[in-house]
Amino acid sequence: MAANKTIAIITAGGGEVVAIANALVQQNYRLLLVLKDSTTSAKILTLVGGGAPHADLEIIECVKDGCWEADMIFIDIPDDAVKEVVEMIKEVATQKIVFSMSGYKSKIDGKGSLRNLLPHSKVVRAINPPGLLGTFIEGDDQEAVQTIYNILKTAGYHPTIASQVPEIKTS
Amino acid sequence: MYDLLYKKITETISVTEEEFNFCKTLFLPKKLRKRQYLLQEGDVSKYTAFVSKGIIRSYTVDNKGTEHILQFAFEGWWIADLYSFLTDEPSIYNMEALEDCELLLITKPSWDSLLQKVPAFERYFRILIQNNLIATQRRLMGTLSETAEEKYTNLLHNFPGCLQRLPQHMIASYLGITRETLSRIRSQMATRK
Repeated sequence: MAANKTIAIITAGGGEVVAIANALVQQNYRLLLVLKDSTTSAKILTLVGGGAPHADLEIIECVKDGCWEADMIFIDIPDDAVKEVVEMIKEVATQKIVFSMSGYKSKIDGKGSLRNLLPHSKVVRAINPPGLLGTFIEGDDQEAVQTIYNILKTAGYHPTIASQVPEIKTS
Repeated sequence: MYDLLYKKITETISVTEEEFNFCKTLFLPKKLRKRQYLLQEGDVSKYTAFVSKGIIRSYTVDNKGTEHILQFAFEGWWIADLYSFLTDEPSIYNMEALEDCELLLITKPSWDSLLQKVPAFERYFRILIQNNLIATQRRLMGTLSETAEEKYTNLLHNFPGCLQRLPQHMIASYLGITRETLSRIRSQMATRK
């Protein structure tokens, strides 16, 4: 029996977080939803885990503690909050998979990108190349990319690994 | 987070600040809550763990459902199923947090990278494995030839403070004796004082 992996999701509460959290608890991941707004937390708690009564799900306010406890970190926050969050988690995120769920919406690239801000983490991001529809993921660590691919696929998404699509040029 | 690791490493080898900073980038910091598992039987032991805070126990369960505790790892100790870690074969052990724990985990590729780039760590881990071998041989000899009371006395000597942190039934399991025998030894020793 495999020890359950813990995923911390740092979120502002919007976007895909409820859908992905529901999919992850169904896969027996232990979830730590890192949220500061208690009203949103309460709302999310009612929406996640409905289909899995024994869902291992917890809301946690401290970003650093949540990420310290996690095996993997999913980030779904606006660009302007990224730097502040990275400062809080970089010490506890080394060697962990950090998945930027909102990567495709992000305008941050180059030096300010998550990959550069967390050089010792295994950053994977969702991308949305012009002219192509679907969820594309990319990252430097192929094992990490494959792990995220497997999680998303089991969750019912249809991810594509960007490096396997010749039309996509990633930085 | 890394103070105890630095202290333990520099008790054995000298490392520069740059070397230790590189070493830090290879570890995965992980908190475990009491009763959570670092490893479960049948999984491959992907990590070697340094315990910064808390206690981890490793144990097996026999076909009658009885637990046999192999090791306790307290603050400053390393714990892993080396066979599984080095061979990628599934482990026969479980590793569980007995208290809330803070661990520093290192994978085999990161460990290899550390040994290759900072050769002083070859010496560090060689000494660590040597000490582990000696401790394992002593434990084996103890199991074969010591009385229950000698085993208990050695435990108190090797793990000072363990009585305050470990439940009686786990101490008994580690010593390979029943709870009743442990209780009897403790009362006899208390009477003699």
